[in-house]
Amino acid sequence: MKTHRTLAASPIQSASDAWQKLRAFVVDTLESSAQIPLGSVRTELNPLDRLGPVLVAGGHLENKGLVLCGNDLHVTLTTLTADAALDAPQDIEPMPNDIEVGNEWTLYVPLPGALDTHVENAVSQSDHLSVATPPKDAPSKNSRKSKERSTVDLDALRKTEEGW
Amino acid sequence: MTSTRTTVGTHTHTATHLADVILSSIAGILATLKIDPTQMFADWNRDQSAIQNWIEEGSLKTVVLECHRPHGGVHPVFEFPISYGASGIGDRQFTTDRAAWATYLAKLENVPVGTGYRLFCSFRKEHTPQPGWGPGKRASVNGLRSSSFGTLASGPHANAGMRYYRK
Repeated sequence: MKTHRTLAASPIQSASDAWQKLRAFVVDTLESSAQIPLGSVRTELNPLDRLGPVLVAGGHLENKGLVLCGNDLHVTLTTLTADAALDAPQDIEPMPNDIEVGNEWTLYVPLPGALDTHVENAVSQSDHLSVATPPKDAPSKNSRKSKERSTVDLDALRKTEEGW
Repeated sequence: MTSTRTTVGTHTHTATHLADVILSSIAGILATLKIDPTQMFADWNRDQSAIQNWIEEGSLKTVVLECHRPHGGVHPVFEFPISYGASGIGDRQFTTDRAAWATYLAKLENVPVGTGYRLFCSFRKEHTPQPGWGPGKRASVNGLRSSSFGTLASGPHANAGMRYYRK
């Protein structure tokens, strides 16, 4: 599923409030998946907490936005400020909970110029955060499996072991 | 012929907008000058709330960012004056010019490694105390050259400018 959500920031709500809603969206969307333990997503997002409001207030999520990718999931989260925010939604609901995202999710964070070093430092504290260019589409279960297939020929290995 | 414009923004909207723009501008300055902004990020919610409340009650006159050099000297200094009254540009009610600001940031002069910063607020009338903020004394800007960025952000009830003082 590929989708795009937009959230109003200032003047409708402060960057801090908008960041809390973006954070809640990511937590609620992912933790509705049976494979993701409750509280684990919140912990993975902690390194971004002090930077989040700075990114929103500086308009750094207006063009590229955050991109949340998981199994069959690709959500772009952007914020709007100034006059553009006046007609934008003030809240974002989590994705429907019938989505089975899986435990291999990544939140891609755009690099905002002068703050690049600070974003890179924060992102380096979690395996689920990245400053890489996000994929254009949701990674599918099948594509991930084929990509992660071992280069070791397990059948051949089994045959060898049986011969011992 | 007459024309009217409906103002949908409240004083709270204006205060929220200007407080966010001022703080993000300060974050941009610190990051550009490679001054450690860790404490600023940590205090963001508290400072945003204070500045927003003071703009909303109409008491805030200026937010000031002072750069304190490791071997003495306080420069550059950045002032963010608030002007109250009907504002907005043309049909736009809430504005900020991020492209012009990014260009301006790129022209700032470097500061030595180890430079720190202090934030001050000055007031035009009685103000409500806010957590984390107490009395302080600004450094003088006498002898510094100043230039104006112009309007940094505006809302229907107030706008914020920026003035840059350097040696």
